[in-house]
Amino acid sequence: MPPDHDQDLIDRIRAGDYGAFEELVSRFERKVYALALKLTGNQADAEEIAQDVFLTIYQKLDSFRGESALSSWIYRVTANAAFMKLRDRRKRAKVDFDEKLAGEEIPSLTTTFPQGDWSANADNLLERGELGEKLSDAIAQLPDKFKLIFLLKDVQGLSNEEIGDIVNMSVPAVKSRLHRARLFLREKLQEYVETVGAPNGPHRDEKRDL
Amino acid sequence: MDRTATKSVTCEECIEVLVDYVDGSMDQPTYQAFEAHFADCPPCLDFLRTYKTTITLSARAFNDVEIPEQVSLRLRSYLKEKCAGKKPGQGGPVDV
Repeated sequence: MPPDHDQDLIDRIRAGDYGAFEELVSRFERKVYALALKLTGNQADAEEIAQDVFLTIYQKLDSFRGESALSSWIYRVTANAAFMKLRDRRKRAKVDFDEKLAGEEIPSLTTTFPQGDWSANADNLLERGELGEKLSDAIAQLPDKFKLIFLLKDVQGLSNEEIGDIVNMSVPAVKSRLHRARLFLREKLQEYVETVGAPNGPHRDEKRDL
Repeated sequence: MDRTATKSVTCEECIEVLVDYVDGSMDQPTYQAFEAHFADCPPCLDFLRTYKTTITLSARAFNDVEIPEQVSLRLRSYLKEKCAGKKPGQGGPVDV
């Protein structure tokens, strides 16, 4: 949606048009809820975060100056609310996750060349519902900022520039974390697929598009 | 398995630049050098394919979240109670 539409929507909300605010909620509620759910892994937390996010958007609308896209602002508020929720949960659990929360590195990131192209096999496992849980487990092991960047790029489909704006990082820093998150998830997928069965995809000599 | 350089590109470089390669954000000569390496290096080609598969499978696995109807209704009810009749933008400054 073009920024001028965003600006029009914000102008209407600022002018007291509550229907315009409901329009904004309709446009973003699924995205906000989905991101919050994937970051926290908890439906009740995701619901609370969605409520906090839209209340914040309404209350802080004057501070939005349009220097970034409306969607970027909403994703940033969502990520901050989710991280705060995770921090509270970890404090309550009396477990020191601060290092992981602030972590700039993925623990035990290894890069192993595959024993063949297991892509088709993984595809079959996802179709049969066996891989979704493994992927969720793997993403849960990522430090929060890596997880956020991965979700914004590969699930929500944002550009590296938009993500940099949201997480307040340079594009090279975003790309570096995205790459390491993907390498980690690829490695976890590979471990699983190669454990479950030998790759049954096309032979590597078979001509395929890159 | 040959892990030595093919043309001017090494296997290590191939793995390092996969983000740019799959994004299509490389300049054409660099892209062609990497394509030549992938064509000559089956392990890197397998790595590339499984890297791309990780992206597409993750998108499919995680992109299916819908907000439940009851959650959406409670959200609207909550916001109406907190916001309706109140002027927006009265929450003070915030780091945006």
